[in-house]
Amino acid sequence: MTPARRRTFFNFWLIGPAALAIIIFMVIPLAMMAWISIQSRSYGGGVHWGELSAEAWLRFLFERNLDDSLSWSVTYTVIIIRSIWLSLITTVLSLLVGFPTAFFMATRDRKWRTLLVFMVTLPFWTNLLVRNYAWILILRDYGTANGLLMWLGITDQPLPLLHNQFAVAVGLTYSFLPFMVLPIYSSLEKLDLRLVEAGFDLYASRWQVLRNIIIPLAIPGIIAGSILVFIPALGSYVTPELLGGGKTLMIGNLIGHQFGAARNWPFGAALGLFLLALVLLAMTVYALRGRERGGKP
Amino acid sequence: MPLRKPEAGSSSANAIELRGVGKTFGSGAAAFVALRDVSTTIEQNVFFTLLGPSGCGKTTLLRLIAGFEAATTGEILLHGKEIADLPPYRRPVNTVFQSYALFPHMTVAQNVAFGLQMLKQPKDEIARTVDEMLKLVQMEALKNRRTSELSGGQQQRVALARALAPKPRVLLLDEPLSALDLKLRKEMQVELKRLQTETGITFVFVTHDQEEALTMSDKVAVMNEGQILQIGTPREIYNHPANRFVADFIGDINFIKAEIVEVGKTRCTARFDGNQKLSFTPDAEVSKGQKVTLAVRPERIAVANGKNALSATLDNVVYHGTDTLYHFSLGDGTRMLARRQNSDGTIPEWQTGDPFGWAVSGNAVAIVADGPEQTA
Repeated sequence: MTPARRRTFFNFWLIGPAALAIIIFMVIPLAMMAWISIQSRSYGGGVHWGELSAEAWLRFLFERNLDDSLSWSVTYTVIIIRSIWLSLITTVLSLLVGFPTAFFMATRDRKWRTLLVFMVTLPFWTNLLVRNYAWILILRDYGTANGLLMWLGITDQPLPLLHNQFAVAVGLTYSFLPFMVLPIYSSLEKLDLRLVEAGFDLYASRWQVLRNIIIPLAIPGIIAGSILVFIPALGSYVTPELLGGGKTLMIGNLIGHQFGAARNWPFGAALGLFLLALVLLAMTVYALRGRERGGKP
Repeated sequence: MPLRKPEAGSSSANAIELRGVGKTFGSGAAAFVALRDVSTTIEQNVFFTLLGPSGCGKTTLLRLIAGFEAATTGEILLHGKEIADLPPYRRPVNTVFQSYALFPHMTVAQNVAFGLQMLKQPKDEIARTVDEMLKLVQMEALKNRRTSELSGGQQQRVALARALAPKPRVLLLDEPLSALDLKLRKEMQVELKRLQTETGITFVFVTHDQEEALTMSDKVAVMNEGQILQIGTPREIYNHPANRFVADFIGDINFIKAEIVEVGKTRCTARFDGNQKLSFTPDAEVSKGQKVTLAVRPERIAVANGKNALSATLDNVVYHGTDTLYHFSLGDGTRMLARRQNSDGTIPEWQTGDPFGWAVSGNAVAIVADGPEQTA
């Protein structure tokens, strides 16, 4: 072997452990999922190995009647659309709350910024489950929020704040807000304040400077943040389970349900792959946008 | 110099008037006084330069006029109107920033159009002005380029076009040439002067480069430690520096401690370096017995022989191509510098320690004050 070849060979072995981990913990399980999704189900859980069936994939759009005929069903389509809808709402809410927060942080003194970044990441120190339970205490009928509203005399009856889409959107926004704040903060922090001054100098008001200069330059951060919020929100399980109640199932809960109570592994696997495809789609859109802007700040 | 017709209602021909302007950053023990009691007027249609070392307050003064900072004390009048309450986007002045501050997400044309769009000018008029401005700075060909694809000099031109497009009455320039290499800088100096003459806009130009100030300006204000030390034409500043700081900051200069021993009708005689005598035409009132500091530019010192020549000892001769520098010392140790143009192509042979004869003509000597008192 020439020295160059030996080096290549050696480098190849350096990535060996990582490659092995990816193969064992990602490629093989994914292949298993794909395989399971086209098996026929076993009613006791698991599958009848080797009995191929498209049943799981048909379930997305069809329902099997007693006489074995298929008819249209929107049950699962509704859940998928609701998941996307709730994730979009979460992304928009996070953006509305996160952008001003990031802007505030990025315009503080350097010594304050570090502390503020630390404070934004502080919720991660607490378990997601605990944080979602905290929201139950806040949103339930005689919880903090309703208690405050009634004490102030704004309502005389508890408002239905828990176990609905509102509660899920609030919970998801709260959970994923730091993923929105941090990327936007990092692009705003890099923003050259002289560009803002140049905007003012060229007769742009505060609002026009924000719209024409600051936001366009923060777009990479906004896109990154939106994807970082949208993707985990789409696959979220804990929040809709705890805050949503029975009528606000999201894909994550549906998948959990298929592997648990419903004992329909093929359908659960098919849903899992579908979710993965949605995420890949979102990532591809992002990557393509990135390439479009490639080389240009 | 043709003055622009002043606006109706404004009787003043002054573009900018500063009255006792002061600026303090911070407060208490950490307070930093950037400007103290600056008063001056800048006439319309002049190329006015604020010259001084870094930290002298020149950029702060520019930012006060632009509106990015508020003055702690004093008033700033623009064409006779107080502008303290106006935010920067309501002041009819534009700035060319040191780092150009071009908008990276816009093309060259979009950058130039930005100010006009904010002023809500009609679209066709904007397009016309943008073309006109890009033509003025010779950048029409790169109209649709992104600003990140431009060289430093090109960015500089775009920044100029962008600031000139709204046709401001005053253009502020914050060390716009400092990022360019020497050759480009020289080109842009000529270009800027041309633009100022062509557009008739008042330019307020900030620089720490004395050569830049001398070559481009109609008027120069030399600043140090938050104060204006002297305002005058480049010739006045160079030939009659008001004090030691101004003299030293602009160009090379020799200082000689002397005592006036004889005062005649137009000339006087000063004694220096023990018992050497120098006769000159004073540019200030002098009296017999007065201790003065004399300032002489190196190029005004002649290499001389004969009995009238002043004496010194040669330290070093440095050949510079176009001219030769003679470093020499007086008997009392005062170090001096003389510059001779190499016009005849021959350079005399010298050795360190040789006696050096020199002379200076009577009108080449200036008396400078030691303290930095303001003489506006």
